[in-house]
Amino acid sequence: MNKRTLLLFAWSVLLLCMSCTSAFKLKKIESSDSPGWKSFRGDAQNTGFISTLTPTLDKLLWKYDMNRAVKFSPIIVGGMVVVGSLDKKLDFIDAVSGNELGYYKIASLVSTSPCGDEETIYFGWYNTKESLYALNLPKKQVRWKVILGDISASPKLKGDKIFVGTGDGSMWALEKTTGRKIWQFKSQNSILSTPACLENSAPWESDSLSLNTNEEMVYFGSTDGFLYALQAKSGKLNWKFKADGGIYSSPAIHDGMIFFGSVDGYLYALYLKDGSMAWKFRTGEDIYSSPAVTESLVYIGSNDYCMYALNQKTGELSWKFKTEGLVHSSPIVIGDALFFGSYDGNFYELNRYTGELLWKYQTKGMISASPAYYDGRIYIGSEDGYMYCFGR
Amino acid sequence: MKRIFFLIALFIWFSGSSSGQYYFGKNKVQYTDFEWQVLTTRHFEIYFYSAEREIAEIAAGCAENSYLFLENKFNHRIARKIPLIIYSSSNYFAQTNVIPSLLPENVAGFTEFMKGRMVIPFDGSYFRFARVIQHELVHTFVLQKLPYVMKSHRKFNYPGPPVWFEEGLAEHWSREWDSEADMMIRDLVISGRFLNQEDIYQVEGTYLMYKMGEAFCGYLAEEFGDDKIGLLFENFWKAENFGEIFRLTFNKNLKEVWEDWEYSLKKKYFPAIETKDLPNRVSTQLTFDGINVKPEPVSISDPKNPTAPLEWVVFKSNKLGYSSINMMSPEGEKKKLKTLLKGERSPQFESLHLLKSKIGVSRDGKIVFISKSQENDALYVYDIKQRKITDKRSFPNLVELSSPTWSPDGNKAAFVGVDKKGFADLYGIDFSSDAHSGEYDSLIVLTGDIYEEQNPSWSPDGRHIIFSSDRGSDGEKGYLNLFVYDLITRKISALTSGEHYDMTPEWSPDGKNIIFSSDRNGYYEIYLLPFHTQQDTVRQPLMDDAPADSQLSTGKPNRNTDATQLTSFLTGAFDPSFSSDGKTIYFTAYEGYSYQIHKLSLEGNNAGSANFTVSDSSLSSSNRVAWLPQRIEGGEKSGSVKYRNRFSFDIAQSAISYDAVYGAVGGFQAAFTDMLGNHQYFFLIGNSSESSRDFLSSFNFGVTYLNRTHRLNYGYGLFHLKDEYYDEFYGFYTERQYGGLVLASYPLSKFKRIDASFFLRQSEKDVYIETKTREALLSTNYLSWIWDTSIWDYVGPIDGTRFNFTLGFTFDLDKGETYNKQILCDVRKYLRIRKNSCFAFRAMGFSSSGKEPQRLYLGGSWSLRGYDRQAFYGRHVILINNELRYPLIDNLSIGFPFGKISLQAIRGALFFDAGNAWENEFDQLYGSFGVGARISLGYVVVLRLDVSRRTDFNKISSDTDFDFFFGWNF
Repeated sequence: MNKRTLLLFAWSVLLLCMSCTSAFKLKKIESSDSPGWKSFRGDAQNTGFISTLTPTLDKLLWKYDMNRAVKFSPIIVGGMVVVGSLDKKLDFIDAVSGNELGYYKIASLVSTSPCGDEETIYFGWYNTKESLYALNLPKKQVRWKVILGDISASPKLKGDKIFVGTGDGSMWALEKTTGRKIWQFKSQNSILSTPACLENSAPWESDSLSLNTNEEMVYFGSTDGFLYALQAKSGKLNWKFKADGGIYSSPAIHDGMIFFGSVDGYLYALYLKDGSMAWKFRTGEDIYSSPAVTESLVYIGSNDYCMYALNQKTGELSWKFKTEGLVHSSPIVIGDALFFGSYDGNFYELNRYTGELLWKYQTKGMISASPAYYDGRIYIGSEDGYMYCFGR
Repeated sequence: MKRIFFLIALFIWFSGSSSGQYYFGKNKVQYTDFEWQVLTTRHFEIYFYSAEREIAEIAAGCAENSYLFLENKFNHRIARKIPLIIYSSSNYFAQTNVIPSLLPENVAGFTEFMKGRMVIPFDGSYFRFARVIQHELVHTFVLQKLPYVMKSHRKFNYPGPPVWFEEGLAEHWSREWDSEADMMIRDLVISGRFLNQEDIYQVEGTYLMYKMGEAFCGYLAEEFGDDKIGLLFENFWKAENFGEIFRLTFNKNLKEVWEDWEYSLKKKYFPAIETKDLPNRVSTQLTFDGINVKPEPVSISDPKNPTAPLEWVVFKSNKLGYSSINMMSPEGEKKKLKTLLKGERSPQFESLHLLKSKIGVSRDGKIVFISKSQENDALYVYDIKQRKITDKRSFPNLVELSSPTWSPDGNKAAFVGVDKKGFADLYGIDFSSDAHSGEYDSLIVLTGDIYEEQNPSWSPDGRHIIFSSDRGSDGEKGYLNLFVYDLITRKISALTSGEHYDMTPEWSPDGKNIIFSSDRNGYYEIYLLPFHTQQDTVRQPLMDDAPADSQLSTGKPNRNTDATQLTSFLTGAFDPSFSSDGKTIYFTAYEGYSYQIHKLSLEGNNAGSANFTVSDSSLSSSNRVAWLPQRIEGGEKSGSVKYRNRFSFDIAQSAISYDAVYGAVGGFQAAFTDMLGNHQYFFLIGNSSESSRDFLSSFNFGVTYLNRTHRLNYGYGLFHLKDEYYDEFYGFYTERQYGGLVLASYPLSKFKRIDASFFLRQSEKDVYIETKTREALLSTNYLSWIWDTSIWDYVGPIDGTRFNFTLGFTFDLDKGETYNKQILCDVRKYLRIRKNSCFAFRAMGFSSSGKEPQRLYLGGSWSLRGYDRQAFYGRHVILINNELRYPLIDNLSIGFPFGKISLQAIRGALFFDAGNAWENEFDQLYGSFGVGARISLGYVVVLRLDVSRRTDFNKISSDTDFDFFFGWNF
């Protein structure tokens, strides 16, 4: 074997090794005491609210180059920011330093926010074959993957089940550990809304608003204009409510009521027990944003450039704040502050009681994604291609 | 011959005079030198000239409103300022240099994709203006949104939405569904002509395509929600074709949704058949070929029998592609039809505004009509008895005119005029004054306000002018109602009100009734409304030039609400007029995607009554102004500044590019233009070197500047070219040439121009069979006279005339002698036989002499058929082509296992050619004859098949020649 042949052979082996290298790379995961932000909207009820000390934001701590527009919201598990990228991968970033920890490569684009915990990350993507993946983080392996069709809505983990909507209008309930189908419910059109889940023993439940079932429930909107209330165990429909436009907004549950926006421009508030309408509020344009809800107010962004704060019980306008662009970004409330982005490229921090602007940061792209919170820091992606981390 | 064609093509192309055609071609004439300014708003840069400042501010308001609406629909923010170029009239709009091609008259605006420029004329209606701005802005959003979505998802090759869908969406998102659109779709459904989705290409580019697309998008919005259409654009990255993207978005196949839509339309429209009829079922159709509109009856005395005047119906038509004014027997065009005047083939009658402007016919047989004449419209009087134009009036301050009407005595006329600011008003002119010496003294403005007026009609008693206008309280939403102008009191009174389009009113001969077309109840029907008034003495109002008090009066003219609906059609009826005896009405009816003239006897025809109570708000006497168009608010604009040329990239291509004399060289061509396209720089870079040694000397570059600001287009440039060529006379040779050029083109009208060019170049020619290099400093000059009135069908010209006469002269400045000279004359005449057939004739002669004369090839599908391409070569050429062009097959679909191929048109040809090219001695004429077929493959691709035999005029060859080629007919 001459020298040239040897070189060629070595090169081929190297290429073979590279091609056999796992698409899943991840450095050691640190355990963390912080609860993290484990799904889109932060919790099972999609409240987008954490009652804690108000984080102090006065500077950019780091920004991470995602190489492509960031359209989806991150989650934070085990001290890692996990975010889907249009660069055909799921990125893992150190939540404190902003350094890359790893990635999981796929054949196409991750088109939703993931959900999960320190053990497993669940994410969906646009694929006609296997489109929902469960990644085992410690083992750096795919735990399972299932064929569901086009997924454009974030999955929601609740108990031993995972719920996810798909482009053909189906809401799926799968076993968390195996991905096995438990039930499938078909709406009339694509589901782009992340479901909100409710246990049967919600501590705030008052008698007057108590549910007439002991079942755990799952609620979601569909672009067919209905908000559906299904029994989480069986997928049986308890009730449905028709808005005058498609529902892209993910519903939020609080105190016996459910809140969601519709492209008919209304924010709706329904009673959980029977789906009857408590009130509705008309914004100036279509609503794609999802509401955040606290003990007294509900917040939502609209295509009329505004962020609204409404009385949770009456729907009365408390304040509104006008940005310079569409507000698709879903607000989150941490302590006394409200955080969200706008198509004008700004990331905003407002006083949640008054709507007063506390701080803003201008990125170089539209912000359509929603923020996430972890340990005094706020994370948000911009379509300028960067994931930003703000704090002190 | 190909070489000289290319040469001349090159000159004209770079002189930038015409519509992308060069050897012939009609001209875009820059009659007016506009002083441009720029108004900057939050999302737009609005380019306007000082006369239209008011319109610019209204455009800014409309554009910003539309932006917010569409930003919400598309969920997309456009970060850069969007260029919006506005013109105060369509005649000015026709002069735009943003795109080089000629703009058809019915173009309401366009969006150019290289720089995303929106170019829109104001047509007198604020509502329509706002709608067109919003329509074009939909295209701008699509142009911005799709690349953004695709780039975000790392895709760079993607299908755009089909034209029918994008145009339909632009209509859907810029207007409410209206009665006209409903009429067109209803007609399709009821007549059984509704197109399947895969057949919509058959109406591609037509107004019907826009309406079908609009209706389909409306159905999508109703069934699935407008948001789903927005979602469609978000999903473009998910599939490779529109059908799959559609299915992913709507969870149904496009075909399936289309069929659902068709079924829903049948359910919607079919019940109306029980109570309504198609026009040709219950009225007499008088015309059949082409589009025929605006009937005006007239009685003309018969010289043979003066006591029994003959009734005629004068109307406008485009039977053979040109618009024309005709008259026919009241029994129909099949009984007797005369063409009085042909438009669109001469500078005087450049356009007769077929659909936009009605005509007036006086009792003594004089037609008053409008035609575009050079830059502005002019008012013409045509005497039917004398068969000639007897008067012409043009007004420097009025750019556009429309719909003239005679006064009862035939001495005065009222019409709609649009001034340089873009405002449409009613004007009157007195023909009996000393018109020709002081044309404009006899013109007075009757309305003079911001509102739009349409279709005036002068009452038989001379006191009133009735017209259609948006001056009512519903006019802000675009609705037109009827108003009457009292020439004595100078007051305007409302006759109708409400959210309707009340149009084209006409008086009955006795002045007691008015008929008009209205879409109340959702169908355009003819209504008859009695008119009562005070019988005051008529004075001479036109001598008093004070404009009308635009206050809407509740005064006397008409409070009668007992209207009669005369028609009950499934489609629609327009442009009604009474016969001379008042017993019959003539009107234009829509049916089968065509407008034809019908007549209906009034006796026994009463489709019902209608309540025409005029709402008080329309007649509010306290409000002098019913409504005002919204302008941009102070805080939204940053003021206007003088326009400055900022050059940016416009087009780029890897091109076959220019050579001063000898043809093509490869290279990269780029163009940089300013926002208005008035100043253009073309750059050419290429290299023809075969070794590194001659790399530098083989650089081909050229830069040419063109100025299109003025009517005289001019340009200049520098070039250096070197390449290898082949010539039948010299064999292979290399020529290097460098120098400068000056170009000029002056259009005399849309149809005629003079082109001139001057090259000064150093030529270094190495002929391989010779041993030495020929060097010369050459001056080359060309002068051309070009004339083109042709109109085209799918495969080439079918009517009109084309003419090119060129003189060329090259002088050797070193030796002080003539290098060569040329003369070329090419005449082509197309004699229309029927709508799709004609006899085409071409005669071309070329001659060149001098030390190195120009030589042309002859032979092949484009010149002398039946002979090989380049079969003849010489410095003298003669060519004659005769061809009968006729339709063979229209809309042919051929099925294949993978789908079907649809061909729009296949045309046949019978031809006879003769010609020769020779060097010194003419030997004989060579001829050929045969048959051919031309297949339109869409857009600009035409496949030609010729089967021919040769002849030397003594005998016919036994060989049959088959020739396939691509290209238009000559």
